[in-house]
Amino acid sequence: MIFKKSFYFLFSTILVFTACGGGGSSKKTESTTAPILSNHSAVIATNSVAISTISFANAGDAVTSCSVTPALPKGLSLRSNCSISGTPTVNQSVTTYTVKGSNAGGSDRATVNLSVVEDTESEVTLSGKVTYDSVPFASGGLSGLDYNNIVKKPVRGAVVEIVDDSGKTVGTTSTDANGNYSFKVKGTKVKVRVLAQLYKKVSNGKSSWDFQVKDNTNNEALYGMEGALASLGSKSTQTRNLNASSGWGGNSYTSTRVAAPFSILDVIYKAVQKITIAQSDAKFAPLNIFWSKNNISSASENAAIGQIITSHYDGTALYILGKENSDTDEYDTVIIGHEWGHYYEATFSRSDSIGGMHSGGDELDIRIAFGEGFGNAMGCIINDTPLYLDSSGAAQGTTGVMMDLENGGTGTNPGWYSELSISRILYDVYDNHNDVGDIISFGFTPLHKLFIDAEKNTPAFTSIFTFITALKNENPGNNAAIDALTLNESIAPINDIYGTGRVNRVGNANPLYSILSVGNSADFVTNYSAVASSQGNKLGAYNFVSFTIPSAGTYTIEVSQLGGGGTPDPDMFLYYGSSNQPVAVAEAYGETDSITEFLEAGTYRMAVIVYDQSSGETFRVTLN
Amino acid sequence: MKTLKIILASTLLMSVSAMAMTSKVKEPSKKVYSVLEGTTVNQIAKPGIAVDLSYKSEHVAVGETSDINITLHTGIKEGILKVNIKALEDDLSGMEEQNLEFDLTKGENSFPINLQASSSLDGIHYINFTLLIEGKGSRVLAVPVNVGNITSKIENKATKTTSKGVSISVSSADEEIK
Repeated sequence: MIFKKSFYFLFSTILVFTACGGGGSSKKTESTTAPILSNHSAVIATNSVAISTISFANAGDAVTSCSVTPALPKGLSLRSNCSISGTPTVNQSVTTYTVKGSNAGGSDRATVNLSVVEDTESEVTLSGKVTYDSVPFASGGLSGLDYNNIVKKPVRGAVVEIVDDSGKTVGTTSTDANGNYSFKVKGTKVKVRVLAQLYKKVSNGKSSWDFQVKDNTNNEALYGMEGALASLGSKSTQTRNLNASSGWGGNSYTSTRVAAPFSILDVIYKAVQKITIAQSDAKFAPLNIFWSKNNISSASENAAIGQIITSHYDGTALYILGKENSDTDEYDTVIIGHEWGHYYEATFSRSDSIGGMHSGGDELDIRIAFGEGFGNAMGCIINDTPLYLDSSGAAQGTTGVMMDLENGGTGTNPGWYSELSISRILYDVYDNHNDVGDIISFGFTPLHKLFIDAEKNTPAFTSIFTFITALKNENPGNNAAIDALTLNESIAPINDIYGTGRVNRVGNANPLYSILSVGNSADFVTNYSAVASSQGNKLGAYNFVSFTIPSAGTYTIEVSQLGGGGTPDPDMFLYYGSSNQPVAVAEAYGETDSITEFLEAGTYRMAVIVYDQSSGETFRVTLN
Repeated sequence: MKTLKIILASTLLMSVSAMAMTSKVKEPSKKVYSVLEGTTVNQIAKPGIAVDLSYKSEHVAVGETSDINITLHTGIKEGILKVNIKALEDDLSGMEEQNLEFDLTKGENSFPINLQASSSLDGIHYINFTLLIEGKGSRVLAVPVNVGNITSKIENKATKTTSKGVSISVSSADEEIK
């Protein structure tokens, strides 16, 4: 490495002092000693750089007023105690400045030779491209990850820092859409550091975000990579290209998996692009994404040691699996998109999902069916692929889950309770590829507008019924095409947010929603025939009720058993408006339960579950 | 180093958990620090087959045998649930890969499994469960086995603090300077 020469041009001539310390005084008083000032050593200041304060030693009493001749260079100022401070903004040859400090006992003079020079250390344009090793799925997607075909992809939108040899960050920027960065840098030795962070500061009327990939097993440290501390060289430009290695050693990971956080970050970059195209002033809630090579799908939760159960969004942060030979998700880009989709749904729209185990052929509670179907679709939309692929197993060589969202109507057990049906419907509404039953190509912007308004504020639980109803309302000319799309998934035309005409379980006479009014009741018969123990997220486990309060007041909602034996223990969860948090809950143990609450006028939704999960029992919900 | 030995005590316990109890190894002097418990029931889950796993495993001293009881739960009533059981760690010995199958068409929705495990190394060891139903997909879950002294934190690379006060875990990049 060749060290760059630094040049300082001194616009100076050395002048002699025109005054010296000690001396003249006038009008002394008995109690005050005149200042006795000493000259200051010469000062060479740098243009546009704050000077260290120039203070004159004083052997007399304190100076109370001060003057200076000639006038100080622009940007510097004299204080009443004769100190000089500030940031010079003009060059100045060496000039002797004389200060005159005074107090009640008299005055004294002192001098300083001061020059202001240009910082002529030449700037170097330091630029380069940042990439990461991206591990694709093997051809066809059925055999897990393919480490023989790693490709370098640009690290896009990531924070880049220039760090000098003292460890100080002397410049910050972000990589562009091609992974490129560029700085104007002064100095001798610097290093380039890239953080696993997408950041855009908050600004009125503009979008903003802060996404950081951190290690939950290492004090939540932000991931980053950096190059060597190296000379900037003697030329006006220098290129430094950085790549994050996968760490793969042929049969296993043998070195640091530097690329993993950047692979995760790139999915989020793509997601941000989608949303900001749809909404230029989108303000994203800050989000930490926790990934670690220790993150394992344990059946217990302790994130500090990597036990995270699964890749998931917990309402505040994303957790992503990384345990080699078990289940890693950093290269399963659709999984990242799926989990980020849950964050998007929760922060921009509304999620009423209740979680729990689920799979494509399940008949699910309408809330989790939509939440997970939404997540699957978002994962594919963000990555612009219809293939949902999840790798796992030894050497990540197995594709544990594969869903093709383009083959509508071909899945197991399609319907409005199927997350897979909902995934395909949402993806078909988005994509521009027509296939069986799909002639719609709306793109993402109309979906985003629907999610942040109609879906967020729907008085019913979020489901395929609320989504399709809003879609039809906003696209009345496409009703027939939308009906064709749902029919392809064995879903009869949807005409309202409550799924009128559907029952809550096959073979069950209960409507999907019981519509109540004040002074009336509704009955439902439990049917847990298809609900395994502890699996309350399947269709039929919860019964749904909707009612409208005509005027604000105190109301009582009661649920009681009409027939049957045992201790059924019904519970109720009451919701209102755009919040997914209940306004009231009745969870007392027993055969009845009630809520008495002051309720504003408006439409409410309620979920009722009977915890003993006995089938064939009749329950009555009343509203008074 | 062959350190963890897992013995599949019961290969096909469909519903009678007592059968698993009879297979326990008697160790009168065994010290059990605690019994770990965990479950995926009612937890958030990424897509995969809808099979939950609950477990209890004894935290034992180095060299002692941990009694591990696992129950798989599912509401799926079609097909065969295939379960591959394998210790995750590379340096384990005495651990043979096991494959079980459970017929889901017989009305059962809970499937208990009993394992015995020991290790000569302190730490958290994992047993991988790969669950598969043909045509429905799979899911990987892991059961921890705590042995001996368990540190509360994982050994990790040192972090740095940037001049802006941010804690970072920074790795070396492959760099080209020109």
